[in-house]
Amino acid sequence: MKQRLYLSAAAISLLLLAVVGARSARRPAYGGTLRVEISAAINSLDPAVAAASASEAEAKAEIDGLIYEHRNPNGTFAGISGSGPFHVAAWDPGKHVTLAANDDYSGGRPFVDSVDILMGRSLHDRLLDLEVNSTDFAEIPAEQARQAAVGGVRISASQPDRLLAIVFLAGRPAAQDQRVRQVVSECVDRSAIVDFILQKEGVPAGSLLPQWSNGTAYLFPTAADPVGAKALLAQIGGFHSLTLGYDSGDSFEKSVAERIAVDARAAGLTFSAQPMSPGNSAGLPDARLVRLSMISPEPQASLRNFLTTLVPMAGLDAVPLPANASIEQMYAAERGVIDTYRVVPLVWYPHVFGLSTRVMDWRAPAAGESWPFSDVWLDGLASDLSEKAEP
Amino acid sequence: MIASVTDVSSGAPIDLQWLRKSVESEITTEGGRLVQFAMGSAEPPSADAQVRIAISHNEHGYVLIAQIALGDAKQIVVAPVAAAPVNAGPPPPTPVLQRKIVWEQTDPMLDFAEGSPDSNHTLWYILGPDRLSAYEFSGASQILHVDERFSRLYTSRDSRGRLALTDPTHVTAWVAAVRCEGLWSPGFAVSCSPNIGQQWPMGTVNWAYDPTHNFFTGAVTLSAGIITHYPPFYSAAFAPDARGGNTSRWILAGLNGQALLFTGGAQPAAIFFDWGSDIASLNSTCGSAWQVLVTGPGDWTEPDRIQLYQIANRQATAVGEPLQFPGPVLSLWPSTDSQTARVVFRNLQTGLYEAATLSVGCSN
Repeated sequence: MKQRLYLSAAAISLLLLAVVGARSARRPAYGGTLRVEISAAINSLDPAVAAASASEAEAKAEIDGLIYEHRNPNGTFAGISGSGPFHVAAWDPGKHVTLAANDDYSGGRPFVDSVDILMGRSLHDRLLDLEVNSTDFAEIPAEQARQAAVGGVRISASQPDRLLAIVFLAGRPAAQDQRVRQVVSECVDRSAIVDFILQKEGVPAGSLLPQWSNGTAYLFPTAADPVGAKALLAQIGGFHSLTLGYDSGDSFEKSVAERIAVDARAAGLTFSAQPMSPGNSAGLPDARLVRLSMISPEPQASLRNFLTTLVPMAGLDAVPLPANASIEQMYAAERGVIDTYRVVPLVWYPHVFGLSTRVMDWRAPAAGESWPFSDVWLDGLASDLSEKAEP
Repeated sequence: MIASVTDVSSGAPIDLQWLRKSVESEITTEGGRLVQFAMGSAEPPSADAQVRIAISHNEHGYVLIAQIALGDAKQIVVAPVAAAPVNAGPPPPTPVLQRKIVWEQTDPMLDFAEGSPDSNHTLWYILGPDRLSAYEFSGASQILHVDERFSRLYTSRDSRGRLALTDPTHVTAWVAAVRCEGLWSPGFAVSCSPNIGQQWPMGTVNWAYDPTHNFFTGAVTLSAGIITHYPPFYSAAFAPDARGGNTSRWILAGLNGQALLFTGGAQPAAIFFDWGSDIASLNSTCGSAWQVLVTGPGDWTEPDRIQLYQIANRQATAVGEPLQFPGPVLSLWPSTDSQTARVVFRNLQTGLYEAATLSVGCSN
C-alpha cells in the first residue's frame, strides 16, 4: 500500500517565495525617499508670510509641521526652520521642495532619508501616479475616495475632522431675518450631500464639533424638514432671494452649493450659488461655504479655534468659552452659535490620502497632526541598507 | 509567470491536479500572475518567470524540486515532503506554543523581568525607552513602585532594550547606547553609563548594536574574544548545545525579511523567507530538533503572530498553529535557560503594551 504524502503549505511556500519575493520584516527600515505630490503651489514656507489661498495655507501648514519643532495649540509653530524632523534641502517656490531627515532630531531621526514634494499637481496626475506607484503619497478629495479605491489606489482616511458649513456673513441685509436663515437650515438635505456628493465619505453635521470629539453632536438634529421649512417661509411671507458663495476653483463646494440651491428652491426660497474668486467683481454674497479643519482632537482647542474664525465672519456676539471648558460649557457655546442660524453646519468629512504599496506603518493623522512622514518607512529598501552596513 | 507540475518519481501517491491548484493559489496569494499556455506550445513572451515543479524521490523520501527561471537567471529550490507514519499507534507528541500574559500598561515597554528575593515578595522590572521601573509585590498587593528615568544618548523612533537579572535584586538594562544597573540597597536606584562598544551580551556571545538605528551591526564577539562579521540583523537565534552553550549554528533575522542560517561557514547555508524581525531559540522538552520562535512579516499597524519552527537538515518546518497576537510583537527575547521567551506586544484594540511569557508544551 502506498504511503500518503503530506505536502505542507510551508513546503510549497518555500518554493514559491523564491519566485515572488519575501515580504518585509516587521521592524521599520531606514532609508529611501518618500515621493509626495500635492495640488497647492506654495510660494513661501515662512509661517509669517500669508498664503494666497486656503489650499496653499493648508499645504504650507503641513510642511511647516515637518520642519519646525512642533505646532503650538494655537496653530503657530515653535522653534526655527529645520528644528523639526526634517530640514529643507532644496526649494523651488511653487514647484518643488525636498526635505532631508534631521539625524539629531530630539524625537528620533525619521526612517526615510528624504521627502520629495512636487507641487501644483492636478488630481488627474496625482491619481495616475498613485495607480502606477510612481508617487508614494497624495491627498485625494474626499468625494473622489471611492472612485480612486475602485481604480486600485490604496486609500487611507482620517476621522471626519473637517467641517463644511454655511456662514451668513455679517452686515448682509438679505440674511438679517433669523427665520429666513432657519428655513435654509431646515431645508438642506445633508444626508444627500453625504451620500451623493461625498459618496458616503462623511457624516451629516448639525453642530460645530463632531460626535467622536465631544459626544454631544447627536443633540443637534441633522434631518431635513422641507415641510417645516416651507411652512415657516409661508409665515414669513414676501419674496426672499439670497446668494451662496463658494470657491470657484473647488468642484466639491460647487456641487454642494448647487445642491443647496435646489433644496432651497423646493422650499420656496431663492438661494443662488455664486462662484467666488480673488478677482471676482460680483460682490459679496449673503452667505458663503466655509471649510474648517479641527486643529486638535481635543474639543476645547478646536471649538475655540472655530469660534475665532466664525464670530467675526458671521457677526456673532462674542461666545464665552472658559479655559478648560466642561462638556456642558462647550455644548452651551455651540448651542449659542447654532441657534442664531448664522452658522449652518452641513457635513463632517475626513482627510483622504492615497498611498503607494511600499509605504509602511502608515497611520492617518489625528486632527491637527501633520502628515506623519517621520514615522513611515518604505518597504523593499532594507536590502540596500544591508549592503551599505555590512562590515 | 508560467508554472507546471510533474511527477518524475514514477508513481508518487499524490494528486497532481491538487498540487497544481495549490501552487497556483500560492502564486496568486503572493502577488504573482499566472499565464496559461497549452502544453507543447511556444511559451508566451509576456511571462517573466517560469517555475517547473517536479515531485521526485531520493533515499530519504519524496522531495519537491522547483526549477525557477527569471530571465537569464536560473535557480533550483528543493523542499522535502513529509511522509505519513506507516506504523499504527498514537501520533507522536506535537510541540504547542503556550502564552501567559503577565503585565500590561499604557506606557511603551521594551522588556520586562521578574524575580523573587524571598517567598513573600516578587519584584518586577519594566524597561521603557527612557526609564526603568521597579515594582514590589507582596502577595497580590503592590507595595512599592519606583520609576528611574535615564538619558538615552541617542533617540531612535524604534527604541530597543533588554533586561537581564544577575539576581532578584540586581537588574541590568541595555537600551540604545546606554547600559544601566538597577540595584536594591536598600531602596531601588539606577545608574547608567555609555555602553562602550555597544555590546549586548547574548548568552556566551556579544552582539554589537547600532544605537542610531534599530538593528545589530552584524559584528558578533565570541566567548574567546574573536569577532565574526555577519550581515546586519534585527535578532538572532542560536542552536543550543547539550550543555546550554552556543553552537556555531545561527539564524539571523535580516533587515529585508530574509532569515539566514549559518552553520559555521561565512556564507549562509539556507535562507528562510517571509519571517518577521524577531526570532528566538527555545529549548523545549517536546521534540529533539532545534526550535525557533519567529514573528510574522508586515508592519506595526497589523496583528502579528509567532510561529514555532523546527530546524533540521537546513530546513525550517513550521510546527503547529501560529500563536496570534492582537497587534505587533515589539520584542522577543529568550530567557537565560532558553526554556521560555519574553514577548512584548502592543494590543491595537486597547492601545496597551502587554508582556507575556511563551513556552512550548506537548500535545497529542
